[in-house]
Amino acid sequence: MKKLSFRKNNMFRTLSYFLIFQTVISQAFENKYDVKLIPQLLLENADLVIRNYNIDFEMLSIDKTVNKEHITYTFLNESGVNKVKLAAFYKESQDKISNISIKLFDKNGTLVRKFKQSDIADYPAFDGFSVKTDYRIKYADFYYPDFPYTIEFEYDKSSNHSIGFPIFTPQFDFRISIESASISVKVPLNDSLRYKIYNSTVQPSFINDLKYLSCNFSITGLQAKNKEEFNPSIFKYVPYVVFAPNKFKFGKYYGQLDTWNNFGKFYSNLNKDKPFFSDENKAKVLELVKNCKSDKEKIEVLYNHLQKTKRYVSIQIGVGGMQCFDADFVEQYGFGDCKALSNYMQAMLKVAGITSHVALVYAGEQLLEPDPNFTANLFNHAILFIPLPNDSIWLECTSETLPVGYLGSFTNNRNALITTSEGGYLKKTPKYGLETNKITSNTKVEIIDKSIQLYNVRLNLKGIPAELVGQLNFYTSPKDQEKWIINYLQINNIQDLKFKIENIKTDTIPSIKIELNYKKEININSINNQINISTKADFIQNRTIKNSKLRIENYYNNNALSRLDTMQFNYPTNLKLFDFKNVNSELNYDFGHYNKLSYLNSDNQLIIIRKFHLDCFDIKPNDSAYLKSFFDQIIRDDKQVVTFINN
Amino acid sequence: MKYIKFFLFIHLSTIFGQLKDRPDMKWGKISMHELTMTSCNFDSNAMALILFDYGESTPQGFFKHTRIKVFKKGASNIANYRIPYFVSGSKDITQFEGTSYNLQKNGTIQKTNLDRNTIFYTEFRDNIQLASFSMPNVIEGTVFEFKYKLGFVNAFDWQFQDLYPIQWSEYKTVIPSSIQFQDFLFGNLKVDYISKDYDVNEQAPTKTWVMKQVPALKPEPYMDSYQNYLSKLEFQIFAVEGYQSINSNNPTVKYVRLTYNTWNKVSEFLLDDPYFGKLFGNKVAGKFADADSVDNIISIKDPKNRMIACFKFVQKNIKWNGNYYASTSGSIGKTISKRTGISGDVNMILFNLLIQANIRVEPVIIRTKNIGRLETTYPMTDRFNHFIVKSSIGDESWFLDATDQNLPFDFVPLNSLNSAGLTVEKEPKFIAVNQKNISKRNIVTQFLVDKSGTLTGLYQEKSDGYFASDIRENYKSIDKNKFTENHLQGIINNIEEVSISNIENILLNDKPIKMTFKISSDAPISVNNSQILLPLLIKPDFKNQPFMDDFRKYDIAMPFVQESTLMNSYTIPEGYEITYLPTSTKITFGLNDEIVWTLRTTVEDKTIKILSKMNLNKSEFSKDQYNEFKSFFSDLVLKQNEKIIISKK
Repeated sequence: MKKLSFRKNNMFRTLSYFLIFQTVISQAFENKYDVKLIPQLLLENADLVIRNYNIDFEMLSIDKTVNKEHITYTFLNESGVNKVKLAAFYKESQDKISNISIKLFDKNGTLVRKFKQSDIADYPAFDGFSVKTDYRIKYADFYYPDFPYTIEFEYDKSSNHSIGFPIFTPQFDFRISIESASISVKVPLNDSLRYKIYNSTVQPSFINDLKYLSCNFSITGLQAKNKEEFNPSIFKYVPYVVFAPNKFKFGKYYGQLDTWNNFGKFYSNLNKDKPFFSDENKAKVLELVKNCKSDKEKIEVLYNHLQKTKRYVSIQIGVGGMQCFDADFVEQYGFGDCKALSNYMQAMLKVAGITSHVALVYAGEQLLEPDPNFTANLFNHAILFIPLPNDSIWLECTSETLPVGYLGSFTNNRNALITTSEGGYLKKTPKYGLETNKITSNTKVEIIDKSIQLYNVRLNLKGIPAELVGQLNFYTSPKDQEKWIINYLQINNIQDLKFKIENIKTDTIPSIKIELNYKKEININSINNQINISTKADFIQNRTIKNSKLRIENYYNNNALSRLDTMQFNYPTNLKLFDFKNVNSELNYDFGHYNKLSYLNSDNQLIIIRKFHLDCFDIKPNDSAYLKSFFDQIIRDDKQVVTFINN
Repeated sequence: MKYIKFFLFIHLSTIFGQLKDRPDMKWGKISMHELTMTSCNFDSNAMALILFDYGESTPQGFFKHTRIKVFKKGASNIANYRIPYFVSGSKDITQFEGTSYNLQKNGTIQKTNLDRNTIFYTEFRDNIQLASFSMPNVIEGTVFEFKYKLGFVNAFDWQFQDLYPIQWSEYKTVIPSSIQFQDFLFGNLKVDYISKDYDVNEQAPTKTWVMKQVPALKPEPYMDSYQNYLSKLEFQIFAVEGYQSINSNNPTVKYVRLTYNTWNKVSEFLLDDPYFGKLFGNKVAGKFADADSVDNIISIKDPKNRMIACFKFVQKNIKWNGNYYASTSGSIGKTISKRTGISGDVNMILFNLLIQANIRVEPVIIRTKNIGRLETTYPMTDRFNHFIVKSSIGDESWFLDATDQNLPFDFVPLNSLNSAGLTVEKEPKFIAVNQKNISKRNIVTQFLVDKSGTLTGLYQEKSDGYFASDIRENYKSIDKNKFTENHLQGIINNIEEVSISNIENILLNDKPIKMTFKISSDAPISVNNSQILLPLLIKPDFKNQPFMDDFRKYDIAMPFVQESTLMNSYTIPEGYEITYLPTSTKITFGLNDEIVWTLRTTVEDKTIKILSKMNLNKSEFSKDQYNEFKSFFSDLVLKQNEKIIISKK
């Protein structure tokens, strides 16, 4: 060991002499990763420059694919480093990782470290919530003290299936620029290859030798994008390419991905013997629904049963996480993952005579939208779809808190693949708009005297704004809820808080009532004879838009919200209203509406009514002036204070 | 035999007391009371209750049996487990069983066993394996229990407290008398019963501890490590007796292998440790890729500059990988070439480089704050998890710790400031590891107020010590375009435009960070027809009262000793006059002015000048002072967040 490190040390010294020598003789030996070679435009707004991003994917046969990644990152600063994990994810049962190579170059492009196999660790890839996953990760810790520096990362992943064709997204985050990126996808001639290019006009080239067809796509010089307010997902405007096979093999199953219909059929067949119960369990279901008068009632009873008796536990094993535990398993043990719980619900409905289908979606912040014209496996979650004659019902089977038929912000407003044994099709999940997402508040401020104000706040949240509080109410104890609610509503420096959170179960959308009573006590200095109170409720948080002359991307909002906030100030006769600017503003735009009105109701009562709604929008930067003036006006009005003095 | 009787006597006298409320811990024996109870009688807030938690360490291994009541389905995550354990040959995890019990409507009890097929085993690293399982059918009202035995023989530490309340926590050790050990109890809670006995089968003395009605551990604002308060037992073996055969003809001879029963022995052991003491003085300078510059550093003439240069070199070139270790990995050369390693490696490199640079150094092993205070009563090596360096030049000395890349040499990382450390030398001693320098922040702002109530002006900040390290950390971890916005957040609402004039010394740790921003807001501060309300302090030290609870369980730990000053001036518009300006004041906390806030307000012509100075001279406060502390903060928050009122003439 000792000898080796001695030699290495010598080598470094030799290397540095060599370098001095080299610069003297010529530039012919130019280092390709020299940072000086990066075009200036690519350094703007960037924390990371991807020098090359090369994917070489080859389908050798229907049950053997090899994906070779070769990516070179130049980190300009530490936030650039934070955007990348030098890691190869793989699934123990399906994939093999080989030929990992990691090299580190300094800013001149000189190789300073080559990672050894012993530097690469192999760990289970815990996602923080799964009880079991057979994903593993091979990765290396790296550190270099002087920015900028470059890391070249290469590895091969061979898989025993062919469902995972590449999704080529070199510019995967904000503040990353791309010097060059290319992909080659090669399939046997008798297999066909499909691809779709998004947000780019660059066309691929093809090479057709006698045995294989390969498709090559490359792109250069992509500038980094800044994340700004009301930004859509980055994939709304950066180039990416999705590749997919027509036929594939997954585990021991063959499937077709050429149409949504066939892919839906594949998933359905993979799980075709799952949504069934033993006779004993069937009888239990029949018992549950025996008094139900309609299908809707049955669905509600069974969904409530699911929520009360089953829990979500993430278990990512089995055939690529696509085949689920059967319904009897879930009944026996009381837990399952999203597929197993959806399947369990489907099985119960089947016993009750109601047809339903498992639907696949990409949940959470949707990155890549499943395209009606291009079939690819872009899903990470399963829900349940019940086609009913008048209006269909969607069920989120992993939720313990949502009302029946409400999907929530996790999966709303996106394409889901409905899977049936006859075939699959895409269907958009419900969108929750202004009529669903509502906040109403009623704040009564009882001004007792100059130092004490009593607040009574009644807050109603509906739709998406109610989801989080609904979970809070379910998962935490009252004591913890109190701390959370103070923080969430930003009602600080208060005393004697009494609060009540009520989950209105009867509604078809999440609906939460919060009532708060508290005291604000201010020991006012005797010199100051006034009391000043803000006319904006503490829990209203305003958004702002900056003057951005350079913005290129659209302003995009996907969360519609309407709110009505009323404040009522009651003050005693020994105080009088000293100063208050009566507001009467009204703004009306396509994207939103705002109206604030204040008036003296009687001698000792001041009322302020603030109506606001913001719809979904997609506004070009040139047209954003209205958006800015809209928010500016609201802030100006909200900054008004009301002043009382001694009578 | 006498010996046994003696223990039996104690055993009987104590067990009698226990019998009354000791739960029936027989496997599968679930009472109707357990099934029907709806809340915890000593914590009405609890969503689940650990009915009992029983553990036993014997020469055969570690056994655990736990029974839990779930009151609310929202707490059903308590039924998901991940157990790490050592794999050593065939001894791994055995006797693994679990059962859930649910009372049915018809009065029968539905039992569901944990299916072995749903226990998942994952190879974690080296010899550590993870067993993960989810208890079946956990709903509102469920009682479930599980047990397992780990074959790896060791004295297992025991935790009496959890995030959920525990009705009964019992721990028993069966340790042969050939092993001499000491147990240490940590935390604020008292043990309800302790009994000693003798296990005839194992021929070993036993000891049992019981805690009843253990409250859930709830974090409080501004508390230091919860480990300081968590009720737990830890063990240290200090001697092992055995028999050794001298040769095959002779009978065996008794020997006693003392581990470390004095701090001197601990130190002796460490000095002799090939991973630690044996590495002292190893030459490291030549191992760096950039050996020439290391040579330059260690030959700097001025000793203090030389020491600082060594510190900065190691701090910059070797990154701590986040794992604490009081010893080293044993491969310092590899750590140097990888440029990243455990804390012991980082500071051993520093230690040896300083020796090579002829700086007087002492090795100091410490326990970091996050894992709780150091217990110095009994000598234990495994109480330590980190290694730092004490260096001296003349009469001056410093504690050096190169694991934090954002601090200057004369600031010890906050986590390493945990009262005492042990010097590793022939005559070891405990020395106080403390921070001499005060962190300072100085903000100077000038604002022009216009008639609509908007502000434009200049913000200048100069921060050092821990203030600066926070800024550096933030600067490095977020997108560059977000830094200014983040840093100025809450200072003025609706900042319209910030032009960064300058950020200096972000990467030069030994210099204060200086920042200058031009700020203009396009929305007003609070206004009405005739008045403008200006914040007294542009950046209050405390915006909200953090102490909301009526009672305090744990001591209060403010982040660090500091001095922050704020100088602000508002130039008010023509035609306006001051209606209200808070007067100069001084408020203090503590007999020795441990916290002092002074405010000075003056008016010069059209300009209001505000000077605020906050001195936090001490960071730790006893929970007994909570009431005064709370009311001091109420007062402070109120005064710091007052408004200046100016109005039209």
